[in-house]
Amino acid sequence: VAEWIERQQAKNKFYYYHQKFRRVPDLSECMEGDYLCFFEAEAQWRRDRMVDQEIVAIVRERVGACQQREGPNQYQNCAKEMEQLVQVTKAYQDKYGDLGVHGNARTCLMKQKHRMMEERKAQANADE
Amino acid sequence: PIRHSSHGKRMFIIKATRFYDARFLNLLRFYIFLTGIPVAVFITYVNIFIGEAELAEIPEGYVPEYWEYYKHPISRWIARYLLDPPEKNYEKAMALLDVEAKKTELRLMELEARRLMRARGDGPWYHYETPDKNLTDDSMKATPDN
Repeated sequence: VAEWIERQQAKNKFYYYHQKFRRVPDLSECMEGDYLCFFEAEAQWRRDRMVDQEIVAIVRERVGACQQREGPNQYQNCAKEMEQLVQVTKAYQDKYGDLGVHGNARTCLMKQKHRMMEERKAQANADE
Repeated sequence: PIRHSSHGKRMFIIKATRFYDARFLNLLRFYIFLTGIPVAVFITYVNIFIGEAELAEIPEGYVPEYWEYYKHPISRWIARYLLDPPEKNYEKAMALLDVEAKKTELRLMELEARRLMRARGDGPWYHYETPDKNLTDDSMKATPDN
Protein backbone atom coordinates (compact mmCIF):
# COMPACT_ATOMS: atom_id res chain seq x y z
CA VAL A 1 0.00 0.00 0.00
CA ALA A 2 2.86 2.35 0.85
CA GLU A 3 4.41 1.81 -2.57
CA TRP A 4 1.10 2.53 -4.30
CA ILE A 5 0.85 5.81 -2.41
CA GLU A 6 4.46 6.64 -3.31
CA ARG A 7 3.77 5.92 -6.98
CA GLN A 8 0.74 8.23 -6.90
CA GLN A 9 2.79 10.95 -5.25
CA ALA A 10 5.75 10.59 -7.58
CA LYS A 11 3.73 11.74 -10.59
CA ASN A 12 3.99 15.43 -9.77
CA LYS A 13 6.86 16.18 -7.47
CA PHE A 14 7.48 19.60 -6.05
CA TYR A 15 9.89 20.99 -3.53
CA TYR A 16 10.05 23.34 -0.67
CA TYR A 17 13.10 25.25 0.45
CA HIS A 18 14.48 26.93 3.50
CA GLN A 19 14.13 30.66 3.12
CA LYS A 20 17.44 32.47 3.13
CA PHE A 21 17.28 36.03 4.43
CA ARG A 22 19.85 38.66 3.62
CA ARG A 23 21.77 40.11 6.53
CA VAL A 24 20.76 43.69 7.28
CA PRO A 25 22.62 46.21 9.49
CA ASP A 26 22.36 45.32 13.13
CA LEU A 27 20.72 47.42 15.84
CA SER A 28 24.16 48.64 16.92
CA GLU A 29 24.84 49.89 13.39
CA CYS A 30 21.62 51.90 13.06
CA MET A 31 21.52 55.67 13.32
CA GLU A 32 19.37 56.98 16.14
CA GLY A 33 15.86 57.85 14.98
CA ASP A 34 16.12 55.67 11.87
CA TYR A 35 12.96 53.68 12.56
CA LEU A 36 13.15 51.71 9.32
CA CYS A 37 16.60 50.41 10.28
CA PHE A 38 15.23 49.57 13.75
CA PHE A 39 12.39 47.57 12.18
CA GLU A 40 14.70 45.55 9.95
CA ALA A 41 17.20 44.91 12.76
CA GLU A 42 14.32 43.84 15.03
CA ALA A 43 13.04 41.36 12.42
CA GLN A 44 16.54 39.97 11.97
CA TRP A 45 16.99 39.62 15.74
CA ARG A 46 13.73 37.72 16.03
CA ARG A 47 14.73 35.35 13.24
CA ASP A 48 18.07 34.76 14.94
CA ARG A 49 16.34 34.08 18.25
CA MET A 50 14.07 31.50 16.60
CA VAL A 51 17.11 29.83 15.05
CA ASP A 52 18.80 29.71 18.46
CA GLN A 53 15.68 28.20 20.02
CA GLU A 54 15.69 25.50 17.36
CA ILE A 55 19.37 24.83 18.01
CA VAL A 56 18.70 24.34 21.72
CA ALA A 57 15.77 22.04 20.90
CA ILE A 58 17.94 19.93 18.59
CA VAL A 59 20.71 19.57 21.17
CA ARG A 60 18.13 18.61 23.80
CA GLU A 61 16.65 16.04 21.44
CA ARG A 62 20.12 14.59 20.89
CA VAL A 63 20.60 14.18 24.64
CA GLY A 64 17.20 12.49 24.91
CA ALA A 65 17.99 10.14 22.03
CA CYS A 66 21.34 9.32 23.57
CA GLN A 67 19.72 8.52 26.91
CA GLN A 68 17.18 6.30 25.19
CA ARG A 69 19.89 4.50 23.21
CA GLU A 70 22.37 3.89 25.99
CA GLY A 71 19.94 2.95 28.70
CA PRO A 72 21.69 2.14 31.97
CA ASN A 73 25.18 3.36 31.00
CA GLN A 74 24.01 6.76 29.78
CA TYR A 75 25.94 8.84 32.28
CA GLN A 76 29.23 7.51 30.91
CA ASN A 77 28.61 7.28 27.19
CA CYS A 78 26.66 10.49 26.69
CA ALA A 79 29.03 12.91 28.38
CA LYS A 80 29.70 14.79 25.13
CA GLU A 81 26.03 15.43 24.39
CA MET A 82 25.38 16.49 27.97
CA GLU A 83 28.36 18.85 27.91
CA GLN A 84 27.09 20.31 24.65
CA LEU A 85 23.61 20.82 26.14
CA VAL A 86 25.06 22.55 29.18
CA GLN A 87 27.13 24.91 27.01
CA VAL A 88 24.30 25.69 24.61
CA THR A 89 21.74 26.38 27.32
CA LYS A 90 24.22 28.55 29.21
CA ALA A 91 24.90 30.56 26.07
CA TYR A 92 21.19 30.91 25.34
CA GLN A 93 20.47 31.99 28.90
CA ASP A 94 23.27 34.56 28.75
CA LYS A 95 22.08 36.03 25.52
CA TYR A 96 18.26 35.84 25.58
CA GLY A 97 17.71 34.73 29.14
CA ASP A 98 15.74 37.08 31.40
CA LEU A 99 14.50 39.48 28.77
CA GLY A 100 10.91 38.39 29.40
CA VAL A 101 7.92 38.39 27.08
CA HIS A 102 8.50 41.94 25.83
CA GLY A 103 12.13 41.36 25.02
CA ASN A 104 13.17 42.96 21.76
CA ALA A 105 16.45 43.64 20.03
CA ARG A 106 17.01 46.78 22.06
CA THR A 107 16.68 45.07 25.48
CA CYS A 108 18.98 42.30 24.28
CA LEU A 109 21.55 44.88 23.22
CA MET A 110 21.30 46.56 26.62
CA LYS A 111 21.80 43.19 28.29
CA GLN A 112 24.89 42.61 26.16
CA LYS A 113 26.17 46.07 27.15
CA HIS A 114 25.71 45.27 30.85
CA ARG A 115 27.46 41.94 30.39
CA MET A 116 30.42 43.62 28.75
CA MET A 117 30.56 46.24 31.49
CA GLU A 118 30.60 43.58 34.18
CA GLU A 119 33.23 41.63 32.35
CA ARG A 120 35.39 44.73 32.18
CA LYS A 121 34.84 45.42 35.85
CA ALA A 122 35.71 41.83 36.79
CA GLN A 123 38.85 42.05 34.71
CA ALA A 124 39.79 45.36 36.34
CA ASN A 125 39.26 43.78 39.75
CA ALA A 126 41.32 40.78 38.80
CA ASP A 127 44.17 42.97 37.57
CA GLU A 128 44.48 44.83 40.87
CA PRO B 1 -40.73 -10.50 29.26
CA ILE B 2 -43.14 -12.76 31.00
CA ARG B 3 -42.21 -15.74 28.88
CA HIS B 4 -38.43 -15.60 29.11
CA SER B 5 -37.89 -14.44 32.64
CA SER B 6 -38.70 -16.70 35.50
CA HIS B 7 -39.45 -14.09 38.06
CA GLY B 8 -40.53 -10.54 38.46
CA LYS B 9 -43.54 -8.78 37.18
CA ARG B 10 -43.51 -6.15 34.46
CA MET B 11 -42.45 -2.80 35.70
CA PHE B 12 -43.20 0.53 34.15
CA ILE B 13 -39.91 2.23 34.98
CA ILE B 14 -40.30 5.93 35.40
CA LYS B 15 -37.17 7.79 34.26
CA ALA B 16 -36.41 11.33 33.26
CA THR B 17 -36.91 11.90 29.57
CA ARG B 18 -34.01 11.24 27.27
CA PHE B 19 -35.86 12.44 24.17
CA TYR B 20 -34.33 15.91 24.05
CA ASP B 21 -30.82 14.65 24.78
CA ALA B 22 -30.96 12.04 22.05
CA ARG B 23 -32.39 14.55 19.58
CA PHE B 24 -29.66 17.08 20.41
CA LEU B 25 -26.87 14.54 19.99
CA ASN B 26 -28.31 13.30 16.74
CA LEU B 27 -28.59 16.80 15.34
CA LEU B 28 -25.05 17.60 16.54
CA ARG B 29 -23.61 14.56 14.80
CA PHE B 30 -25.58 15.31 11.67
CA TYR B 31 -24.41 18.90 11.31
CA ILE B 32 -20.82 18.11 12.19
CA PHE B 33 -20.57 15.30 9.67
CA LEU B 34 -22.41 17.29 7.01
CA THR B 35 -19.26 19.34 6.33
CA GLY B 36 -16.81 17.24 8.31
CA ILE B 37 -16.90 14.20 6.04
CA PRO B 38 -16.33 16.09 2.76
CA VAL B 39 -13.46 18.00 4.41
CA ALA B 40 -11.91 14.78 5.71
CA VAL B 41 -12.29 13.09 2.31
CA PHE B 42 -10.71 16.07 0.55
CA ILE B 43 -7.77 16.17 2.95
CA THR B 44 -7.08 12.44 2.59
CA TYR B 45 -7.27 12.82 -1.19
CA VAL B 46 -4.73 15.63 -1.10
CA ASN B 47 -2.43 13.75 1.25
CA ILE B 48 -2.50 10.54 -0.76
CA PHE B 49 -2.56 11.71 -4.34
CA ILE B 50 -0.75 15.03 -4.28
CA GLY B 51 1.64 14.44 -1.43
CA GLU B 52 3.82 16.79 0.53
CA ALA B 53 6.78 18.65 -0.87
CA GLU B 54 10.33 17.47 -0.48
CA LEU B 55 13.08 19.50 1.11
CA ALA B 56 15.72 20.49 -1.42
CA GLU B 57 18.60 22.91 -1.67
CA ILE B 58 17.84 26.10 -3.52
CA PRO B 59 19.22 25.65 -7.05
CA GLU B 60 21.83 28.06 -8.30
CA GLY B 61 20.48 31.29 -9.73
CA TYR B 62 16.87 30.40 -8.89
CA VAL B 63 14.74 32.57 -6.62
CA PRO B 64 11.85 30.51 -5.21
CA GLU B 65 8.39 32.04 -5.11
CA TYR B 66 7.15 32.96 -1.68
CA TRP B 67 4.70 30.05 -1.63
CA GLU B 68 7.39 27.49 -2.33
CA TYR B 69 8.60 27.70 1.25
CA TYR B 70 5.75 25.58 2.66
CA LYS B 71 5.55 21.80 2.87
CA HIS B 72 1.89 20.79 2.81
CA PRO B 73 0.14 21.35 -0.57
CA ILE B 74 -2.91 22.97 1.05
CA SER B 75 -0.76 25.53 2.92
CA ARG B 76 1.08 26.17 -0.31
CA TRP B 77 -2.23 26.80 -2.08
CA ILE B 78 -3.43 29.10 0.69
CA ALA B 79 -0.14 31.04 0.66
CA ARG B 80 -0.30 31.33 -3.09
CA TYR B 81 -3.89 32.37 -3.71
CA LEU B 82 -5.31 33.71 -0.47
CA LEU B 83 -2.50 35.42 1.39
CA ASP B 84 -0.22 38.28 0.43
CA PRO B 85 3.51 37.64 0.03
CA PRO B 86 5.35 38.35 3.29
CA GLU B 87 7.56 40.79 1.43
CA LYS B 88 4.47 42.89 0.72
CA ASN B 89 3.51 42.94 4.41
CA TYR B 90 7.06 43.88 5.32
CA GLU B 91 7.11 46.71 2.83
CA LYS B 92 3.70 47.93 4.00
CA ALA B 93 4.93 48.04 7.59
CA MET B 94 8.06 49.89 6.52
CA ALA B 95 5.96 52.42 4.58
CA LEU B 96 3.77 53.09 7.63
CA LEU B 97 6.84 53.51 9.83
CA ASP B 98 8.37 55.87 7.29
CA VAL B 99 5.27 58.09 7.19
CA GLU B 100 5.03 58.17 10.97
CA ALA B 101 8.76 58.92 11.33
CA LYS B 102 8.47 61.84 8.92
CA LYS B 103 5.43 63.09 10.82
CA THR B 104 7.26 63.04 14.16
CA GLU B 105 10.23 64.81 12.60
CA LEU B 106 8.02 67.56 11.16
CA ARG B 107 6.18 67.98 14.44
CA LEU B 108 9.41 68.33 16.37
CA MET B 109 10.67 70.91 13.87
CA GLU B 110 7.43 72.88 14.15
CA LEU B 111 7.72 72.98 17.93
CA GLU B 112 11.34 74.13 17.66
CA ALA B 113 10.41 76.86 15.14
CA ARG B 114 7.60 78.05 17.37
CA ARG B 115 9.88 78.22 20.38
CA LEU B 116 12.55 80.16 18.51
CA MET B 117 10.10 82.58 16.89
CA ARG B 118 8.50 83.32 20.21
CA ALA B 119 11.88 83.82 21.86
CA ARG B 120 13.59 85.87 19.15
CA GLY B 121 10.56 87.61 17.74
CA ASP B 122 12.02 87.94 14.25
CA GLY B 123 9.69 85.51 12.45
CA PRO B 124 6.24 85.68 10.87
CA TRP B 125 4.55 84.06 13.89
CA TYR B 126 3.65 85.67 17.20
CA HIS B 127 2.65 89.10 15.90
CA TYR B 128 0.20 90.75 18.28
CA GLU B 129 -1.97 93.74 17.44
CA THR B 130 -0.95 96.83 19.44
CA PRO B 131 -2.82 100.18 19.49
CA ASP B 132 -1.76 102.82 16.94
CA LYS B 133 1.29 104.97 17.78
CA ASN B 134 -0.55 108.19 16.85
CA LEU B 135 -3.26 107.61 19.45
CA THR B 136 -0.88 108.22 22.37
CA ASP B 137 -1.16 111.62 24.06
CA ASP B 138 2.28 112.94 25.14
CA SER B 139 1.11 116.28 26.47
CA MET B 140 1.71 117.25 30.13
CA LYS B 141 -0.94 115.81 32.46
CA ALA B 142 -2.57 117.39 35.54
CA THR B 143 -1.68 114.57 37.97
CA PRO B 144 1.54 112.47 37.68
CA ASP B 145 -0.14 109.07 37.81
CA ASN B 146 -2.21 109.19 34.60
